[in-house]
Amino acid sequence: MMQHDPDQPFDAAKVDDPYRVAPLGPPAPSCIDPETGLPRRRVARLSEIPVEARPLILLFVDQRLLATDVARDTGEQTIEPTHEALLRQWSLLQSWLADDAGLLTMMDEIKRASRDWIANDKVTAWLIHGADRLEAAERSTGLRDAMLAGQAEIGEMPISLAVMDFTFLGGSMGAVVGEKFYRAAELAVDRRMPLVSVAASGGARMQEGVLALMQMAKTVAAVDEVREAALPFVSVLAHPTTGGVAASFAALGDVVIAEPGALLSFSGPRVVRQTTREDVPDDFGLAESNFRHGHIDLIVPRPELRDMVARLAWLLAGGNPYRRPTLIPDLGAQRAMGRILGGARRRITDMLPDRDGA
Amino acid sequence: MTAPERPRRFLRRRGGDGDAWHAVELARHQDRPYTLDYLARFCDDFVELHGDRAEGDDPAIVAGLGSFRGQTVAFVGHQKGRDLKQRAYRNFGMPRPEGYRKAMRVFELAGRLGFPVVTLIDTPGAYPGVGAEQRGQSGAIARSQLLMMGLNVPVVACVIGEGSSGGALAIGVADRVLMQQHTIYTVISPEGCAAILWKDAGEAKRAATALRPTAPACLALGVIDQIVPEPGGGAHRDHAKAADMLGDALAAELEFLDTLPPLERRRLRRQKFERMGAFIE
Repeated sequence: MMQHDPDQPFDAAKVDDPYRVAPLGPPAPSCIDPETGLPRRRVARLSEIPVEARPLILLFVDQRLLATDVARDTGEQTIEPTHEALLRQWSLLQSWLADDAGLLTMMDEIKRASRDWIANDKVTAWLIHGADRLEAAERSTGLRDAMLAGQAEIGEMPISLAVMDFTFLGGSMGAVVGEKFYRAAELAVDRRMPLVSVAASGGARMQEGVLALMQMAKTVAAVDEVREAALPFVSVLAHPTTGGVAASFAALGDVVIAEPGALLSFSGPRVVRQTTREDVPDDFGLAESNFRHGHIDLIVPRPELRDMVARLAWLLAGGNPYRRPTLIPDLGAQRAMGRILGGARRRITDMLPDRDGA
Repeated sequence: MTAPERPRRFLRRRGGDGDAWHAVELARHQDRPYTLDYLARFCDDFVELHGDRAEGDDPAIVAGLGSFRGQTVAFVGHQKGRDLKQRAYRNFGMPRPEGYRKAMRVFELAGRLGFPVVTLIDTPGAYPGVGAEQRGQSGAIARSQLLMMGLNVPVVACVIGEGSSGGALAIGVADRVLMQQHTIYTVISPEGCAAILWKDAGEAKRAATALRPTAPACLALGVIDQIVPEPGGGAHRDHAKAADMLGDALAAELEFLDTLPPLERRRLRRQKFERMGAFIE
């Protein structure tokens, strides 16, 4: 390694072999901007630089080509180019970057993908890249989207039922969920049946952009149809019901039932804490808290849910004598209900309790 | 229903021209006219109404009756503040449930007395606070949409800055939905999207590109009906001219809506939202 006199200006010609750093891998304090394909500055940890190359790096630091700093979180020493122009004008560096552009972009994408995967609780669907995430969700859940809808019978009362499944992309509401709910409402109106929905959703499907937002209005329009037809709507809120679903059809039931401990809020606790720095109470957004604040009518545990929905369907239908469904614990039906609310894999007609079952 | 290919392609397109973030910045420009700036310019008279008749008055939403080109119109809009003190007072234009309830009180009043409704949308989203949730944020947003859906009077909405999330849509259910040229309408703010999907608000630009929140993109999707032009460079360059242009657009829409029978108008409004979203069967 060459000797360097800090009082002398830096002269690249005096570096005995400037190419010797090239085989050490991509120059750490630079990367390729994935959007523009141009080199971009980045902050590199000094530990990323191979030991042999460090004296040269320190020489660059002396010459104010690179700047050092200490990372606030880890306390590690970092380096970055002092000026963006260095990356554009330094032809040697440019040629190394050009050689490694493909590799650098790929490295960057892999890092991003792994970060996304970890940030999303290591859900398998996030491992799939290049392919459609929607297809991945279809494969892993066996569902076509986050809602199942159709005619059902509960306590001998025919109802139009729309049930969400949280395992399908977080139960998010996109165009398909909006349409399914709309058709469930249409079915209720056509056949003069009560509408019952079971929500379990993280909110609007951000991946579908503003059209996902519009599904809120679409489902509200559907509820308006049901109201206009003077038919009842019972909304069941399972864990969790948040965001755009909580703020659209799910909130509009003539009777709103929540499951115990279900998280029901527009903004989740993490978002509230991060944006407002407010202290979030332990029971923030839980069904019990919502009940105290007057947002829901009833809290009903899952085993009693079917019975309660059946009673309400009769009562809301008005004047029809309510015939109590069987009081014998119906484990089969409970399991079926659990399947509806959890990871449904069968057609909706298969899952509902048989009329003569139990 | 037909199965257009467009939305899928739109979802997959990446990168693009980098306009998305620029649009976000313009829509948030601190010198853009806010709701009260417009009302002061295009109403001959305006009386602001306060309070939700239940638990408070939310300064992030202004509502009232204005005299607009010869007729009384009920106006409801998000209001941001310009200096630090005003911004804190207006809560950065992020409404709480009492704001939506105030809006609903005015919608109901307009429906009962037969005034057209005009809403101006400009919010980063509904306020994500503990108290707001406890007082029923979701329910307020939902009920406000439902009330607007059923109004028998003409309803026009226009995005005049940021239209983010349910906080915007809560007052955005209208017969005719407009966007000014340099505004955005999106399911969530780019920061929020990045924070939720990637747990990193720093990825906002990437999110903005993916969300494609610009007026032309929303028009292409049928989410809005028309783009209202702004003075050269954006509304912040010339408030008077921007107010004239917006006023003209609103007046034209109200005039058109007035020709429809109320029940037909209401049916068409509902149909318009029922047709939102494309899917393949």
